[in-house]
Amino acid sequence: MGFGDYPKEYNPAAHGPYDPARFYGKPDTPFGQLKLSEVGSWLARRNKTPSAFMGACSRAWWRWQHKYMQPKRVGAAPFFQLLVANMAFFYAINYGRIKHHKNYKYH
Amino acid sequence: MLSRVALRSAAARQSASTALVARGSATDVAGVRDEKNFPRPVRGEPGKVRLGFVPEEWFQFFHSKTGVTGPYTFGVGLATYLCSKEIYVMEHEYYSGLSLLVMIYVAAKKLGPSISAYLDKEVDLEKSNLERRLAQRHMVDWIVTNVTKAITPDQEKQTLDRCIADLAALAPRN
Repeated sequence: MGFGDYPKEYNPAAHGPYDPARFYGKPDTPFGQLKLSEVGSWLARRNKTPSAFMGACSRAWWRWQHKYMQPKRVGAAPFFQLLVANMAFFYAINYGRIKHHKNYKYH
Repeated sequence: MLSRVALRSAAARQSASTALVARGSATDVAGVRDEKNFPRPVRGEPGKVRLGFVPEEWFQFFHSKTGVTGPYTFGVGLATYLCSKEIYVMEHEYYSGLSLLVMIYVAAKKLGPSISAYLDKEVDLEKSNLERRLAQRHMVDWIVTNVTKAITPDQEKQTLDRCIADLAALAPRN
């Protein structure tokens, strides 16, 4: 699977039009339905290659797009979400500088 | 392209719920279209949010455990912790951010409704134009095919004979 290719599990004949938000591989138990004892083995089963990680990020992005950005008659919500996410991100990357502005030494 | 847009709008009209929830299991038999686990994605309504941006689902997650005020209590508690320990540092940028937030809030409240009304009007106009164009094209196609179907070989022969007769009548005059 190279750059820009469909996931190798995707089969147009069976799956129909490609949905970038959908996982076409073999589904596992959703993380939210796991028991605490199963979390370890669940994590061990995950595919941890860089391409799998990128795929997961891409699906999450498209899930967000389909839910907030792409529907008919969206409001300002997706733009505010982007704004807040950017604020959090830039606060995090600038934290090294910001922390010197603390007003108290002990809390 | 146009027909695809029309199809999509027709499909979207059928579903009212938030779209693209189907994430089924892959049990694909070779080559058979699996409509049950992989239904065609449908464009739906936007996801619900509270406070302008927080997904409604995050609040629902709390409801069964803490009741309806739980998520707000959690939010306020977390903010208090972050500010109290100065994990969130209120330096000069914080106050400029606060003033920006007030400006954004006022702009959204004042301009939001008129902007959305304008955009909705634009979309409605575009959609009605498209639908009329498609309907007209369909009607023209239908009329043409029916008229050509209605012409019988006998009629065709009659018209041809009539033309030849007319030509014959015209010929001596020249």
